[in-house]
Amino acid sequence: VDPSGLSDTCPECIYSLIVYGLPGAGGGGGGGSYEGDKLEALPDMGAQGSQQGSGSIGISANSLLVASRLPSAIGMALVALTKTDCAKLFSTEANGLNPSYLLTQLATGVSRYGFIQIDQLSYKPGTVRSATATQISAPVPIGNDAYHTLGVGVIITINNIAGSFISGNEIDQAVTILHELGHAFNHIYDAGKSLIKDDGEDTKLSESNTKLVKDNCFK
Amino acid sequence: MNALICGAMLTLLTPILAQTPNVLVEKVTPVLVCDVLSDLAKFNGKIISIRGVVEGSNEGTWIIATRCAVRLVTDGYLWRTAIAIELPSTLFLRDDVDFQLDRAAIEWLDHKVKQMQYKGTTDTLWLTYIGLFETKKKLEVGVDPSGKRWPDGFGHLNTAPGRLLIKTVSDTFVERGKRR
Repeated sequence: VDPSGLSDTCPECIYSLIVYGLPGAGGGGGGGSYEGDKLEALPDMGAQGSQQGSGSIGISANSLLVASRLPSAIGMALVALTKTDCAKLFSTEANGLNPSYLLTQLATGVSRYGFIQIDQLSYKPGTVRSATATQISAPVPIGNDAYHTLGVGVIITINNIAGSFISGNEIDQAVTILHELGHAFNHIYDAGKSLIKDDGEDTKLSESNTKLVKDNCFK
Repeated sequence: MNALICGAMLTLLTPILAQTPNVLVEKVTPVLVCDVLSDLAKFNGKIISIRGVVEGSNEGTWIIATRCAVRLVTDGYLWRTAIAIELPSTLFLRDDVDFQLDRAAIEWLDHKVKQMQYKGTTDTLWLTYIGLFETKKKLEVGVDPSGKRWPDGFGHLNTAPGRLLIKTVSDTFVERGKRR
């Protein structure tokens, strides 16, 4: 169920996700099975068994599982953004983008702002990695035939090995989406910034960003 | 690419065989994170073995050094002493890596770390990763209209000046109560 109501109008076109590791998708495809609503997360990477390109059944199943959960998570995030406390975390500068608008642009993946995709992510032993955000940069003309490199979009990658979309609940998943949306606001030059700080490899800061989203959007 | 990797393995590294449970791991002489960051071009595109402290959050994994005598600066930007750790099977990075992740070694590492009762909040975890190191010929630093500078590197938020697509991992060591 999509609480935002957006997917009721065009479920197949609202969320044009890029999903790696699905049967026939890219080099890692091949093999894989999907039994509709019987999909369950595989316990860990080891259970995925085979290697890239030789029938990655577990990875494919997990990708489908994440893909099935993502629309609902995005819907919950959009509902949370209707709360003032949650919305004020984003677009803190004048003339910034509406956070619901940017999230929808990322979910549809049809604008220069970037897209959301599903893929395998590495992890530190003992930690769980849910998602990552990488910036898309491009030269932007500044007159007199000069160019300036600016952050024009982000790629949000949801982990299909572990993390909130494998073992978390819907709120955890929506928090993950909003946390990464916060990074998108800071890394798209004209988006209008957010209160989510650049956490880089700072684990504590990443946790504190997650707490900020939880406290303001889901309490 | 095969020839490049084989050539790099033969010329740059000294192969030794070390055994972990159920799997033979090709072990090569490790270099430190600082060594790699002080000469990125030398290691770019090569299979290398890196030893360092592993950091990881909900959003990324890095092998880091806490102190380097020489720090990498491009366009006046001081880069972090970190290398992003990524999987060769992460397809959005590149889909032409001609080696596979040694999943048995990763499983063994997970088991070992659990067995050693490693505590992420207080302990420091040292590891040696072997994999393909990549950087950019020119590490760009952007400046947004507010004046904020941002790196265009690798990993979460592009903060690392290089990345390692890992093949295998070994030599776990935990420093108790010495969180860096």
